[in-house]
Amino acid sequence: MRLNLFKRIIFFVLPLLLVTSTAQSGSIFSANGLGEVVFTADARLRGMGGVGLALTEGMSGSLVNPALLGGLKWAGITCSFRPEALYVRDAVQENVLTTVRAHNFALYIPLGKGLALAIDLRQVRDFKFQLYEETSVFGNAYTKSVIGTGGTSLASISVARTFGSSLYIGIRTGHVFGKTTKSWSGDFSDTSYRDSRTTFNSEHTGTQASLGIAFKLSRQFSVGAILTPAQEVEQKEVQVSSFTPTTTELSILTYPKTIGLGFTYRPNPKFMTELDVTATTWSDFKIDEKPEPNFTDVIRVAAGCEFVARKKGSSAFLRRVPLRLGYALEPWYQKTAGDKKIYAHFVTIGFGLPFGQFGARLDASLELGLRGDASSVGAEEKIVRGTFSLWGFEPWFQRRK
Amino acid sequence: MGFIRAIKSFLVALSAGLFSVDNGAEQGYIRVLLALPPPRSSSLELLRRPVACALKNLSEGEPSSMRKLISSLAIASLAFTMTGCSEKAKNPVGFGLVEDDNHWQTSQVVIEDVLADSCLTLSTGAGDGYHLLIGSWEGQETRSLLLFEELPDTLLWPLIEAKLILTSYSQANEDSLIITAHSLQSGWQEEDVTWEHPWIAAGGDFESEAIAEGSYALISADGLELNFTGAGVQLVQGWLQGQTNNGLILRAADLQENNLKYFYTTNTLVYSPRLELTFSISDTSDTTVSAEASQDAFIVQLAASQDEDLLCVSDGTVRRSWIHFDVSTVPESVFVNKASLALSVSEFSAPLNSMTIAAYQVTDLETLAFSPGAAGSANLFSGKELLEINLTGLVQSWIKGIQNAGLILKVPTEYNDLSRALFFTSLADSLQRPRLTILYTTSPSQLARSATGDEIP
Repeated sequence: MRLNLFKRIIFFVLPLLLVTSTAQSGSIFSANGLGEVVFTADARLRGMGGVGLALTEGMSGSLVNPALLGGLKWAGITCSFRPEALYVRDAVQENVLTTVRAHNFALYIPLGKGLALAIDLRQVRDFKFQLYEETSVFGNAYTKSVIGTGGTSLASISVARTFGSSLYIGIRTGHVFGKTTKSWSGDFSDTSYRDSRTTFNSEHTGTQASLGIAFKLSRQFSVGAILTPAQEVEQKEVQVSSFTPTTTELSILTYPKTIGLGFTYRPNPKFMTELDVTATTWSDFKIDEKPEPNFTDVIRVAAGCEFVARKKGSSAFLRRVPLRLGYALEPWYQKTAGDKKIYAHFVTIGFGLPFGQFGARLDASLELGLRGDASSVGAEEKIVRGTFSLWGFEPWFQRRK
Repeated sequence: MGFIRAIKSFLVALSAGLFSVDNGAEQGYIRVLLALPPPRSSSLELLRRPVACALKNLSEGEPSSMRKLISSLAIASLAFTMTGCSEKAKNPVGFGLVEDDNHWQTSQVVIEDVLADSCLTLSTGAGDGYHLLIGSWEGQETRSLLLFEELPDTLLWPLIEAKLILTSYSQANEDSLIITAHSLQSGWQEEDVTWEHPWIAAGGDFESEAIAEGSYALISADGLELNFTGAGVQLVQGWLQGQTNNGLILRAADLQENNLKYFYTTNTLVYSPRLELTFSISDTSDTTVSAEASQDAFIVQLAASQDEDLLCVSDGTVRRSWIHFDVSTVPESVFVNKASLALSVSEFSAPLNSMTIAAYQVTDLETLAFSPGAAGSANLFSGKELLEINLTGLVQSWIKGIQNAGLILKVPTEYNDLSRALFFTSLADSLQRPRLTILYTTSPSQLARSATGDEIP
């Protein structure tokens, strides 16, 4: 019996380690640009529409705003994974795609005197997609395909401090790394025909830094902000093609800056709501100083709320389970060839299961989204996304009484 | 506690201690314990606490509701993982979103512009083949020559019996055939012997009286036996004693139209034509010795002259064709998916009902020398009106800049048969002319270059 529990737990943890090797396809809009930009947030934040810039309570907000690390009392660890199903449709046909991502992993260490440190690994860009077209060429059955694999991750260190009990300031800096592969293929069913191939193998390395700040205006109001300046990432691209000899090209990608502002309102201890607005200047994105014509600025808006019937001291477990609700507007950074913007709307719900005495938690969220439009944009995705996160804390590095 | 055991215990405790069940008053809880030790503990304390925690957790029971939750999460996570593993179906939705400048363009061009096409007749010996042909096909008689230069040294033994053994390869029909062997009066070499050369009389200078005879109807698993007459035994005895040895010529005694028999040559090693010679060692015992032929070839009457406005490929009487297409209309740096040469058949004749025709790259425009390896080949058989040869690799090399001097069409091994194929030339009607169909793909950068005329940086 006891070993069954142990096995079940390992059974739950192991897929976390395997998910990145089994992911199949992300957004179909990823094919033309840099892939899908991943917004890093745990299940608690996703249950509230993806807010977190001013969430001074709990550690979830630190994933979004490094300043919020300053409230850390105990050492902690968190990890998330995110299964997703996409119901994709264009004017002619539809399909279902699935993907599972190991979303992020972080380790938190309080350093005393309001100072805290976090080490985390997160995915920032997902480059998984597959698009096929069955057609014929001069009477010969022919399949075109574009397949993307890989992505970009950020390994970062965050340091934050509280000044008094109201002001939080933090900085996150990290190393951006990753590999992506984009393969174009033209395959004939008749094997007497030679198939065409072009593959772009890219490696990315760079650094990224973010500055965050949060302030408790009162017991009811908090504000938070984040600034991520533009940064440069080196890209080494090897092109292997049927058409030309293998070439290697080095480029500098200039990523845009991001500014975010969030407001939290807590009218009473049971209820909390937040509104975040984040702007990213994707029109400033450049490859070797040349802008991408279809890239467009993005303003992301998220709003959410959390309700807990009774926080502490209750013998009724369900009264301690927080319930969450949210909405997010997430425009895509790239317009279509027809100069159409692509918007995504998400409605989110979530809950958390607290356990232990140090704020440990198992959170789950469900997001229902719609991206694009089959008639105006050419395709649309109905997104069903779940996120599961674990938070665990221990009173290490505390003076024992 | 040894260091290795300590590390193992630590790792077990780390994995076991990630989740534990607190058997406290509150039901349905999971207590998360971090197995990382406090920083100031001693080395034993580093291990004792997580191990103790792990043992404590494993010794406690768990509430059924939380067990169900963990099981559900485990099953859900594995289900998603396995769904991801099994989701291999192609996704057709969204390909239209791919920007046009990333698309390839596939084009096809049919080239009928021929710079040159002609039929070439060669006169060469048929000594390099794998078959000896005896009989007749479409008015052309064939005869086979054998020379035995490596005979045993048996001067003291009288030769009492001789046989010639031929191993059969195939036949054009089931009709029987009487094959006779005659002594040749002139010397010859397999490399250059033909129906005309080096004979005084066309078809070979030989004694009219046969010295050996065999019937194809009596052929056995060992082969066809031609038994030597008394005169034939004396002839072979003379060879053994050093007399002039010009070999034998084999011909059909009862020549019938389209009755052709095939036998293996010395090139096949195992099935070489051979003499079996029986010597008398003593009054009561004999011995039989085998001697394989050292040279062999078949000769064939020249075929009737053909229409000069046709391309020709034939075996036996060797004919080849040269054809030269202009591929300069195909853009540079494209990727050739397939290039196919199509020839319309005017006439076809093959005793064994099939014929292989191969194309070879011409390497010298002056001499029409060609590369040893075929660029492509195809089989032709009765009833087929079009011959298509895949020349993808050769055409790709022409487009990339290798000299285009055309190609030679020929039978790969030209001394094995009497097959013949005639094709229409560029002078024929449009539907029957030779044509080279090239299907190729252009990369997006190439498309942009062709549109603007400028080099794309």
